[in-house]
Amino acid sequence: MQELSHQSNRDAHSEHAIDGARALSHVCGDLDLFARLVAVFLRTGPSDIASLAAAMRSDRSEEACMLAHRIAGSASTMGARTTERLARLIELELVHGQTQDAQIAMGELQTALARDLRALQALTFP
Amino acid sequence: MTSKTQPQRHVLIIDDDELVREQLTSLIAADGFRVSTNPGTYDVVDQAFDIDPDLILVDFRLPHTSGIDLLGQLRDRGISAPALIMTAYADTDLALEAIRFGAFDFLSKPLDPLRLKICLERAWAMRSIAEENRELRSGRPPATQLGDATGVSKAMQEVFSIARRVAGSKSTVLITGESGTGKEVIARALHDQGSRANETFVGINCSSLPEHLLESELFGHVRGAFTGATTHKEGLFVTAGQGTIFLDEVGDMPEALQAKLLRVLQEREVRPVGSTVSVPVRARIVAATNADLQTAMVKGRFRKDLFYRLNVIPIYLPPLRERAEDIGALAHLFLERHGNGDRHFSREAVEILSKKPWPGNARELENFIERILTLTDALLIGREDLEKVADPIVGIPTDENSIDELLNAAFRMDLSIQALNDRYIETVLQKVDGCKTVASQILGIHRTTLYRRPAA
Repeated sequence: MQELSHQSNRDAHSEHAIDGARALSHVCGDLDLFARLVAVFLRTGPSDIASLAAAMRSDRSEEACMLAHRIAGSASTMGARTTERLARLIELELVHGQTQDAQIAMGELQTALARDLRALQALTFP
Repeated sequence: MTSKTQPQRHVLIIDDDELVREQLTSLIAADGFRVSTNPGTYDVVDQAFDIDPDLILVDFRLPHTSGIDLLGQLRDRGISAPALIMTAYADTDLALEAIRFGAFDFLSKPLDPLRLKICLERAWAMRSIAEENRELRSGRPPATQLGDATGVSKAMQEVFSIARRVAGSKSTVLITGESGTGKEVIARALHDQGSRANETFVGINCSSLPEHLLESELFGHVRGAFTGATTHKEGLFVTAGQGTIFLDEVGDMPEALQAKLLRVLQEREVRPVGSTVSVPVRARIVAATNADLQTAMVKGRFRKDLFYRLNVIPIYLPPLRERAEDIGALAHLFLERHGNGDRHFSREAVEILSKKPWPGNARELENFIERILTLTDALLIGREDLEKVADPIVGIPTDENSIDELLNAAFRMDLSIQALNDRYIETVLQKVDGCKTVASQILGIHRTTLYRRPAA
């Protein structure tokens, strides 16, 4: 809990921080549930983004859209706002056929997600 | 949330995001429900068919199909459970489309646990109503009466069906409808038909008292809490005990009190003004309003969180002009209520009454019938009797009544501007149950003008 509060305070200084208060509101403050969701996100986040990158490389736009949508949803639940915003942007760009712009944002998304995953991994739960 | 005597409800969650499935499973299972999940794979329809869920939560976007298309496939297989569509964005168009295609409601992602809980409560209520409707269709005659409320229209039978089903529950009910449609009658019926029938029913009009008096009435106060508080006063939430508290015109409640009411709904306890001790609230809360709460929320005049807390079971009473088939039944009910049993309406009289718009709804109809009974003697009340007691200015309200006709009538009567002005003000005040704030808005004059006006 202390770690979560710490992360939340960091929001004011870093756009890559996890919004702990927001994330906890999605689980009614249940830390056990939040810990389980973190575990799921740590496992699915890297594989989803790898699949997204592969789909974009192969011009499978529909699949890429789907994956970007899913990453945005998961990140939103976890309070990972920057990752959420970037994933939504990529989804939107793919919908409008702007694949080059999506590719540029993809690099930023990978960086943001990596930071968020590190931040979540560093959390300790009572 | 589930009663021990009820079978365990089964929820099916369909979402390709494992995180959402985990989140929803935990939140829903914590309330005692059985949960099954599916990531949206091809076997989902078969799985739903096998488990026959009581509720389906389905993502709008799935890997192989859309939530709406999947809903269609489920319905084609005869799976009739209410469905909640989940959308990643608060996209009203998508949500409306989903509802048009048979979803019961929608949830925006990231999921808000409170909204989820409220949606589940509503889904159970709707599921029960659907089951009851099936029973009704199987042969039992439709209900045309509930307590003092009567109606043969489909709309009112649906209202009675919902009211009868939820009468025994403790869920908060929000009754909406124009002034005079019978919101308090339905609130009383909810009380009388349920397990609280022998407990207290207390009601209060939230627009009729100044803020500090309303606060004191609702929440009570201790001695010395403010100037004039010479004794301890029990608030209505406590007076209601395990009965029902009816908050009429809740849409007009001052904002500060909305926050206090929200706290009562959340904590189920109330703290009298000036006290440090909270008292548990056991009463069922039924609220009503004729205000458009959606607009009030947009304009910031009504709290969204309070709306969601109140709108657990919504009941909408349509205006009388939209259910003309009820006018005959209501006219006979009021005739029985105010007459001595030996007077009747001619068929023509009922037809005339049924063609009127009745902007003041059932209350206006009842007043009109009471006037007929008082001012005429005919045992069979006909057209002439109706015309005899029609208001000299308003007349028997007809679709053809126009402002021109009204002004012509005023001219024939040599009415002065002042007299016309006074009559109109009186009419508006009557229509809005004496609420001067609302009346002043309609009349386009300042509220203080109405307060300064001598009593009629």
